[in-house]
Amino acid sequence: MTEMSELSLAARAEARKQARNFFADRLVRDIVVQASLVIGLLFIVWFCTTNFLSDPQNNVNWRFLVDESKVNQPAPNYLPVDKSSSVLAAFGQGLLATMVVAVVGILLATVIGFFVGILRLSSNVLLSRLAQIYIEFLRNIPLAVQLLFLNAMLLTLPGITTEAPISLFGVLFHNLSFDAPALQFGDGTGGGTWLGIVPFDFSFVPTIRIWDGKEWAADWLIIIPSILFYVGLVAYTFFRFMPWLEAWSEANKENGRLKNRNRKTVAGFTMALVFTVLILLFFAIETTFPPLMGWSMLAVFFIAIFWGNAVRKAILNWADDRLDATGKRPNVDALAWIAMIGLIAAIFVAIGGPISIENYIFNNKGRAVFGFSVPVSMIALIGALAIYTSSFIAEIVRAGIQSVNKGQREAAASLGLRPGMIMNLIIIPQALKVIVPPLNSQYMNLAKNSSLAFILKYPDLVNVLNTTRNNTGRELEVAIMILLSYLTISLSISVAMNYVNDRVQLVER
Amino acid sequence: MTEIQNVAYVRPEGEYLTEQAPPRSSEGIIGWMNANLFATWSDRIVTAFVAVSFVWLAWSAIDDWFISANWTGATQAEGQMAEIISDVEAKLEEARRLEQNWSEQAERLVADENQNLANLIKDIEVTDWQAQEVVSNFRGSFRKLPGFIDEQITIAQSKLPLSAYARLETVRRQLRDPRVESAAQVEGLYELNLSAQEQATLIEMSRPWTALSDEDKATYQSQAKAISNLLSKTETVSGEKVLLPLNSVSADVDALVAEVNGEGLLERPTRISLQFASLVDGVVGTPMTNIPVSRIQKMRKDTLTNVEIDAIRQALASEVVGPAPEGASRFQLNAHNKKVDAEAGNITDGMVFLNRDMPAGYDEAIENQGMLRALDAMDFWSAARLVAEPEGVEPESNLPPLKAPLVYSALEAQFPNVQPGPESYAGSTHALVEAYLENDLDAMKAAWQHFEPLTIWASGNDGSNWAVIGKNWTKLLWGTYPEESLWRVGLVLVGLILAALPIVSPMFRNTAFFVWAGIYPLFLLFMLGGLSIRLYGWSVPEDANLFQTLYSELGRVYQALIALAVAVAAFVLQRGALGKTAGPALVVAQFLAFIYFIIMMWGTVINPKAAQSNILVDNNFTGLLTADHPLGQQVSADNLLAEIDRLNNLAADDSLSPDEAQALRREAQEKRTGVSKARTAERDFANVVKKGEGTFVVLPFVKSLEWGGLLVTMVLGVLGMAASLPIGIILAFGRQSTLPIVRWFSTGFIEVIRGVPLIALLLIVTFVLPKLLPDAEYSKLGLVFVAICVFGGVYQAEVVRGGLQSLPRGQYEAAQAMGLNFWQMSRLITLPQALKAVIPAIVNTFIGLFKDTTLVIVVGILDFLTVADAQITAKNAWNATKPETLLVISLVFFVLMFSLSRYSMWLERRLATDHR
Repeated sequence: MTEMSELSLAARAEARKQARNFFADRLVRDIVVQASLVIGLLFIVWFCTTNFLSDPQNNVNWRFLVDESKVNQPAPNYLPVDKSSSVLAAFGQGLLATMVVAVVGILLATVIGFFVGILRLSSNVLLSRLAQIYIEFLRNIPLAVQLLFLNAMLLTLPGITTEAPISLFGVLFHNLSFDAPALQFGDGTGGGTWLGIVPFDFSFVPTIRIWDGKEWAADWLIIIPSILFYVGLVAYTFFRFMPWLEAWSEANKENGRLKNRNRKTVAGFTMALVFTVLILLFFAIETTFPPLMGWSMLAVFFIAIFWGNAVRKAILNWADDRLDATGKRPNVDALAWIAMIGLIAAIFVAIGGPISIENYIFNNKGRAVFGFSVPVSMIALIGALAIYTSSFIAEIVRAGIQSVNKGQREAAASLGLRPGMIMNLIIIPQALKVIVPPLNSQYMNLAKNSSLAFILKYPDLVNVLNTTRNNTGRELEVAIMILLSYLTISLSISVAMNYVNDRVQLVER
Repeated sequence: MTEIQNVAYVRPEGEYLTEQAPPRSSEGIIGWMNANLFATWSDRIVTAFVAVSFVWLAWSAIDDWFISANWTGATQAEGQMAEIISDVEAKLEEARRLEQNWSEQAERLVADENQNLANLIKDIEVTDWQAQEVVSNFRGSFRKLPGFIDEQITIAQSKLPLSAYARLETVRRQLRDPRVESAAQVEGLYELNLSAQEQATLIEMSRPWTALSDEDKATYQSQAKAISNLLSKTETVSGEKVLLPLNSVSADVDALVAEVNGEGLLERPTRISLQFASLVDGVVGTPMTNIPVSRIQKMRKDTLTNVEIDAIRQALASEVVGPAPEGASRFQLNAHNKKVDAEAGNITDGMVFLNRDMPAGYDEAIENQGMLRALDAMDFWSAARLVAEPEGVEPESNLPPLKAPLVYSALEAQFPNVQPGPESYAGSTHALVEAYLENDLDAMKAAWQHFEPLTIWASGNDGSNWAVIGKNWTKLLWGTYPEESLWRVGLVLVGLILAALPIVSPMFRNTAFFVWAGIYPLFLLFMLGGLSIRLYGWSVPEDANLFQTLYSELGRVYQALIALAVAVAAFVLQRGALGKTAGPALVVAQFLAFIYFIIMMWGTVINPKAAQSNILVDNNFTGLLTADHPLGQQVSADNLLAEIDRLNNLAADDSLSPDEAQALRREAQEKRTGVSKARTAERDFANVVKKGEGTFVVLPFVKSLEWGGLLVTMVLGVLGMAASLPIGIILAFGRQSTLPIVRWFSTGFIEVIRGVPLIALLLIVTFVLPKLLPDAEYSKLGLVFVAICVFGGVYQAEVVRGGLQSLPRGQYEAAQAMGLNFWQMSRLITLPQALKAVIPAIVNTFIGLFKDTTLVIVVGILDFLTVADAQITAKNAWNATKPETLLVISLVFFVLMFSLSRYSMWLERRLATDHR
């Protein structure tokens, strides 16, 4: 009996070994598991494709992208779109709307979040408790509820067509939109008689004609010479000033390198030059590309500031050089400022000073046709996103600040720094390395949550595409577009924040 | 002596202190405040500031939400209604007086020519000033207009009134139609309740026009036409037609004006138009852009679906056509239906919207006294006006009478002191209805001016209105779940409490409770949705091929049985000898076979919806084949044959003329062709009966569309939490796996889903997924639930992965060294530690998931928020109470989420066994 059982035990062990050799072989197991996964996935793909194609109406066809979008487009329009423009154009507008909401929301949320987070750590119990109440309340209530609530509250503002709206510092608050007078940057020709000076003539700049009304039309015969012109302009400038630059840098070397302040001066001029060329290019496009109309003068404004600042830096640099050389610094601070402002003014005079203030005017529906107008739905969207996310950011900021060693604060205090300086110079830079990674995910959440625009019928990315889906019935294509767009946005935010994170982590050293 | 004196004057140490201020208390609440709120000056200032602003905010909130709140809704509104009625009556009186005095006044005007002229000059000065105001307001746009305007601009420096654009619009309108004729003016005056002087002015202004020759008139008209064409050029901006900015057409206008000025004709009418416009604007005192009607119309268009519109249209049409004749034949019924259809085509949108849910809507208006319901009342009134056309007056539209008695009684109840008819708001109501039906917005605005008191009343009610919660709390809690089945919701709630007891106290942590928590989701599903079981009667279609046979009901039942057998066999084998060698494979086999078993059972044996068809059969079908039922008359072949017999018998009657007999026979012949169709239909119905065969209804079916409110939120939230954690753990393991394909797949899946907002996911799942699945009807709630689970799952996966990564490497190595396999290691060693480490993060994800369930609003699932937003406050009656409703919803969410987060903190503390 025992022998039998032993025998059978041994045989069983052998059999088990045999079996186990096969099942327990790691390679076999891995291959079997992964192959079954692949087969399962392929089966799902086959299953879905078969079902999809079983209905003859289902197919994949991207031609709807050039059809009429039929999406209402309230201001602000970032592209020249209206109800009749193509789906692709409406999609671009939706993408830009999402991005604008996300960026403004992120900025606002960060500011409020840091403020509340620091309040949360205030030594005054009342303040810190209030901050706590703020945080607890807002993060425990769904964003959709907050959004609708804010929107409903904004709709109780006085109506522009029936009552007097609230007006603060020239900004009107009413239940359709918030309106402010807009800074209008003209095209540089209308204001030519300003101060009686003939405006600068830009007509020598070759025009790149790439936007012809509704379609892109690249005319290479014009584009290639234009690009050659710009390359030549840069090259000429570079080689014209190269010898002088070399001589100057030879004279200002320190330990074999250009002195730090001199390098900054060179960088300032280089930046001004690069911007000038870029903006001339901008000009060239602007004349035929409607979306950029009116922005060129804003760009010129920036050019003027760049050049002015470069000149100011150069003067200060010269003064420092004199200090090094003679031990005495010529008093040129005021002169530098005057030179900067003078240069900016001169540039403006040269191009005719085309900035004007454009007041709001309403049409009979109470919608502002001029001026800078933001619809209430966008205000509610950005406001709710910022407030909701700020409650999370405040917690992150509080945790980050608390993570900084108490000794750091005490050491800073014993060095005689004031509380504000302690916070700005000692605590926050160290806290940032703890704060930034979770901040990244909050920013991404905010960007994704901007799709709640759907609830307020504000035409963001998802809303535009959903309307398109409704109109055209192209479900699959629209789904693919939504997926790809949001993956791109998430990825970009992630890349940007990783860059910031790297910068912040370097501070630690 | 001196020593003694010295000694006597020495005071104890503490006695000096009594002369100083007593020390600050360091105990109790005063001490706490001293230490925390009033320690330094900056603290005191901040404290004072915060306290004052807090008290102010709190007071205004309390005032708004409680003190001036409208708790009952009814009495206050009634009082206001009485005020309006008196206001209306005063206006009526005024109108009557004007009408009576009208001819006398006209005579007097003619007699006092000189006086009128003097008035005219004076008024023209006034109106000139107003015109200049208009012009100066639009200097930028108008600077290219005729010269006289430019001359006046320098005179009038005035503020920019907000109605300026509206005024410009009026001017433009007038320019477009410069025929200022006396009759029209007089009508206008009557409409506008102008004073005698103003009327005189207008009449005078029109005089030069009437005095003109026909040629001049024609010239005027063509010029005005040209200008108005230029001025009214539109462009499409943001999908809406707006007028072009004037400066863009200024060159053309300039040219035309120069030309016209040369002829010297334009100036006067333009001037008159401007004066007329500004006079009208000035007298009415409100911009002409008060458009509540159109907004309401739009709201309704948003709230009515096409199906509803069609239904209303059909109902109206059948009311117009009248009921079908008694005992009508199938063909008579068909003809009748055709007539109804034809009539339905004549029903305009305006009529549909006027007649939308009239009885219900009106009851509510009376019941709630909701502010904006009054506007509905005005619409009904308008409808009534159509009916109450004064005798002898031919109605301009040939619309049929609409539910007149109903509207009348409702109106009488609402406005007891005002008799609807020509004496009241006759002119304006008529105009309103006409404009409404013709979509003439301008005319509508003009007529609407008379109802201004109502709009003021509607907008002037400050403070909160909490009646909305009191009257709609059932909707908020369970939507439209049938009331007779509410006990099921109660049981589900009790079940939830039982399933949650183990997390409250270790007392309840035993097998029974865990098993209950495990089967609770199924319990919930069947309890809420209904359950019926089919025990026999499964069918196989005739001449089916192999695949169809396999997929048929009976085929699926057999497959389910086989799968069950396989699962049991695998279980037995795993427990037995083979378990040692092929254990994992057998476990997987059990799992897959069980899943297959469930899939095959679903729709055949377990079938919540079968109950529906059963009910259909019970309630409808038995009655359907009888002759009493309207459908039965068309369907039943026996009835048809009986009818044919009857007709033939009638035709056999000798008293009939040959023609009549012939007609009857023809009718019988026609009916005979329908018999075979009726037989087919009967067979179809028999199949319906067969479908319900063998089905036993355990719980009646409740469509998921009828679930609503907090119930749906809880179902989605609780089940979503329960399902997302396992999904998350599986995906986390997948992402940690050493097998590259598994890892890539998990990572890709997690990253893609995480990168997409839930709203987009919900839309995709609702609209795209059904296209990728076999052709069937998918419950929207189910699809949405899948999306929420997957979305929560990928977030949980990241959390769990963090927990797994935080474990020291030694834990894994020690577990492997002890000979544990992967599943044992995960179950016993790594997962418990990993999950414990990330409890706060898991609960945070739960909270996020629960909050995110509100996003189902985008696909129209009637959850807690959507019920409030789309059903309760979307109605006119409660439109103004959105903030209150949302506040209550916020509070409910806050209580739920806050307690959940506190629970997680408590759990974290309790499970903290390390020595940090």
